[in-house]
Amino acid sequence: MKPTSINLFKESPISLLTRPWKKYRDGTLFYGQSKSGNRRTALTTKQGNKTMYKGTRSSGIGKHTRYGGYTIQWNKVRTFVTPQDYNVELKPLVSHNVPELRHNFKGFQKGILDSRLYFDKLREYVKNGKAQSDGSDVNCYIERG
Amino acid sequence: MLLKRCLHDTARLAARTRYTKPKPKPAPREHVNLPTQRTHHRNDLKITAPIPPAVVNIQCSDDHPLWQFFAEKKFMRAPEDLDDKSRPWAIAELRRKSFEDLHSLWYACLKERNILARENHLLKNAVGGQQDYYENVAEKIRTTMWRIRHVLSERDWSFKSAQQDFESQKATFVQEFSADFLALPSEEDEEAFQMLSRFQQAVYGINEFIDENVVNRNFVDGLKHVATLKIQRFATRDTLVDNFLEGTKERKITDAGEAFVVFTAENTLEDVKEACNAVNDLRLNGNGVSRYDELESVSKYIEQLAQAQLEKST
Amino acid sequence: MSSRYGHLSKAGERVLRSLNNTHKNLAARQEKYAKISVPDFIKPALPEVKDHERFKTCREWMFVPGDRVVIMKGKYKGNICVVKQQDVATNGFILDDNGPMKNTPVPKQFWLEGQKSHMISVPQAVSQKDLRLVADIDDPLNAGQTRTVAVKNIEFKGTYYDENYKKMMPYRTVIGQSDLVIPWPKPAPQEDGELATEPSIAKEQTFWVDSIVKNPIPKDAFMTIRNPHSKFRRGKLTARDISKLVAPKMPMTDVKKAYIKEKQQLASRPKAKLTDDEKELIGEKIYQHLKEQGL
Repeated sequence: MKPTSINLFKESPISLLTRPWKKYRDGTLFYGQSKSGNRRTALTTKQGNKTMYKGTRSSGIGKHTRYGGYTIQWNKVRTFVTPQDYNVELKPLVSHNVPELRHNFKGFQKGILDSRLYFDKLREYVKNGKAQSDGSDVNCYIERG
Repeated sequence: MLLKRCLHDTARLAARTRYTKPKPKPAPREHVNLPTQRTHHRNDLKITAPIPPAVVNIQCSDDHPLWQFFAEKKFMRAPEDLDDKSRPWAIAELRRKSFEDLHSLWYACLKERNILARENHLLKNAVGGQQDYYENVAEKIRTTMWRIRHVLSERDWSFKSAQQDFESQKATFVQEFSADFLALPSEEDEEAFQMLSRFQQAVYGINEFIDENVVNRNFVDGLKHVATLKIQRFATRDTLVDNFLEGTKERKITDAGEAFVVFTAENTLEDVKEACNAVNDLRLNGNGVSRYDELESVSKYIEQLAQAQLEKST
Repeated sequence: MSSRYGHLSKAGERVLRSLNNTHKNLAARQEKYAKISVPDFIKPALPEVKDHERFKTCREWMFVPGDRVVIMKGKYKGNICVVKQQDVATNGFILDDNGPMKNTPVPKQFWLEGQKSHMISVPQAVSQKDLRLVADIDDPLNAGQTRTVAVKNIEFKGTYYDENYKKMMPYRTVIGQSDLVIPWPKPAPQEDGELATEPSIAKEQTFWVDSIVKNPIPKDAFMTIRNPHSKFRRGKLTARDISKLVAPKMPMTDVKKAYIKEKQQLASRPKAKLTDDEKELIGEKIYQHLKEQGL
């Protein structure tokens, strides 16, 4: 069943009873408990009949030509966009000697998503330019969001 | 019976002659793969004694890109050498980082997780360990990574909602800035014009780099407003500029062409005066820009300006 | 050669996990054999606690490494020790040399550096309920001097930013005496880890809200920031879905329409008012009737 199907919203007695959405081949309901082991594990590459091909989600980036070659379609190729100027100084973690910064949204009802906060920040930027805020202090642990 | 057998034989013989005629030569094929080393080779290959696998036989340069999958060029780090003290980046800390920085950080995380995954795989398979030393560090890095995505998504939502609400706030925002800008004393001219340049980029999207600009209605309105502000700032210092301002409707510049001339002038009194004279000349010649083809004219001006700058630089 | 890929894929993970769920009648037996099979030098002194029962916050732990505690029970009763470590698996505390120790043999492959004998004394974890916090407080009798006391019970009140721990910590006070705060011990300083960004660079601000017209994020990045096909993003009802789910309104029958029309007509009739003549007539009739009755 497609997940976007509207049946997900139907709460009829039958749909509730068939809630695991799984049936055995003979049509009896499957409630997740059976004598013959668990049948709800992922299909592996070794299962299925001779035509079953699970794939590895790799390849499929082009077409075979009539003459045994292969043309790559570049729009199908996985691309990793790396940053233009890679900042080498940033590392995946932060030192435990630095307090975790927290943001305080007092007076702004929607927190970071508050438009008034956005306008305030914009006003500050227009006025002061790229000035460092309080949070740039290494020992600062709370500042306005 | 005998006759039948004879006929049988002759029929077969006849058939043989019919089908054993030499076939015509096939036409030359167009797309033929050239012989490669794998498909065709000459007979000069020799069998030598096997080369035993040894570290000495393996050469690898120090800057080989695959070294990025190894920490300190080690097969595996000892669990004690791992960094289990540091904490993931906090969301608030990431909020203060630019997109470029977050992008860099993402790749730093990805590379480190690759190293850890390699080591973890070795531990679980080659060494046969059960511990999660590497996984625990990788999990922390993963936290940093989801937080990066969270912060970027949040940044986008806040921008979108603010943009929607700005329609009603724009007038007051612009008015407040105009008052601030005109109130700054003449000694702080440099600062004031830096403010103006940030303002025009923030509200109207007028960028200092000419080729990054997109000409739309907002842009042209911004051009007019910024030009007016510029004139107003100098009007108190010089009578010529003041007279020029008096001559305009409601003390505002409403013509896109005039606005462009004033906008491109340097932020000094002389240049602004010159621009005012140029605008006066334009008016005398009747070279106004109609309100209906403002966008086209302005984009043409911008193109010309970009070209002029390009020629200047080369 | 066997290779396990459990760390790469979650396929079948739930099934494997369910194998650990033993029947409650078998749990005690299994635990007994698990205990027997563990060598003596690894065997924990306290029973292991389940994941959800493990202490996480400093309010639950009550003592942190560096605190002085007094043992209240057993052979070592009355000893004042320093907490060396919190034992996460058993919710216990590992104390210094004054605390309980166990002499056990250790196989040679596990010998520590400088060890010469098979026998080694291993510190034993002590449960929280057998420990009391020891604190130095101002002596009320001799001003300017301190007394060392054991605190019967402690409670936590409010929070403050602790410079040593670099985070918000609760005030640890003696129960019933909220002004008597027992400070948290200062942790041993540790150097920054290898994966840690330099503090000044980590805290540097490089993003400012600088535009209301240009999105701060390039458009192409959105495919990787938010997954449009995410399973958590499904389940949005479109107008089409709603129209399918909501039953259409039944059209009215002709009879019903006629009935409503009639009702409306009846309602819209002007209400007749009794004129004076009519009232007179009615009065006359009633009078006649009563008269006939002989009243």
